[in-house]
Amino acid sequence: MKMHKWLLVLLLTWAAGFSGPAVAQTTSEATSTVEYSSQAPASSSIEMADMMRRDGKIYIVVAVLVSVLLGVLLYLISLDKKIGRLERELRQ
Amino acid sequence: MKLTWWKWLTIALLLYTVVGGMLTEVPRLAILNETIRNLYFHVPMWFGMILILLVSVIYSIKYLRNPLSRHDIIAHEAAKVGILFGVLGIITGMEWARFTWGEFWSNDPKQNGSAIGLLIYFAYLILRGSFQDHQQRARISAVYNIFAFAALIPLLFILPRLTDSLHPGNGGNPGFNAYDLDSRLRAVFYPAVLGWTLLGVWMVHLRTRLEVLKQRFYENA
Repeated sequence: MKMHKWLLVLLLTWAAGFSGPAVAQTTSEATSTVEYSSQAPASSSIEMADMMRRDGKIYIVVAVLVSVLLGVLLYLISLDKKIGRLERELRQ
Repeated sequence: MKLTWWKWLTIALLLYTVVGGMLTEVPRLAILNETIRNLYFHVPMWFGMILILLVSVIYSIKYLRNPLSRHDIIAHEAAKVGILFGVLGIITGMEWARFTWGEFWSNDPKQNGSAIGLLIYFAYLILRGSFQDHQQRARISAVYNIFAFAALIPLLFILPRLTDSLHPGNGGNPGFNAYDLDSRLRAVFYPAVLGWTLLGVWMVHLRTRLEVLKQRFYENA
């Protein structure tokens, strides 16, 4: 799979190229953007799911999402193994 | 578990996307509110689709230069996974649009363009199915694939910019701005794009191996 490596190298350089300046910008942007963590509703009029976060219920959502994702990924891994076994069998 | 390193990277990036996508700080934007987090799931579908379809078209060109059935198989499987990502992109986009733009389908130029682009790719699959001869199928669909990809680029990236669009970065605006300018979004968005794309590559990898096995099985039988 030479193509995959090629694609990955391309993507990694692209991701690194864009994420790099982003880190550098953080300090300058921190002063200009609205503070997210501030609990006072007066500082931000735009409604977000702050209450859900304060209750800790967001972690339930994250747990469910991670479980679903892991389930799908484990399925993919087992499929990968099955195909690998077939390939080995056919080669013999 | 023995897995190639990039498969571990896929798993790590996707886990980071889900956890980071829900828990990290995002800018407070009117109308969008918390739905800005869809940026980590809806947009990577399109990035993934374009990159996987790019793999498909590269293998189509490779097939035309050197007609190995392996090249044809990769082009076909990559096109199928690319279409899957595109369909997921349309569905997630419609869901997001319903609650931010008011309607599932508001005839936004980018929505229309992506719908036309997907139809062109559906035709690729139908075209493939209409040949009896393997070599004829591989050759003609490889040529069609090149045209399909060439049509997709203006439909998604050029035409929507020429008119007003609800999508950010369109309607006269340069590329990424409003949302992507924020470094907090970027920190999850780029890993998310990489993770979802690698997941697609993984799927192409599996389906290709399965198809190669199938061919070899029929040859031996």
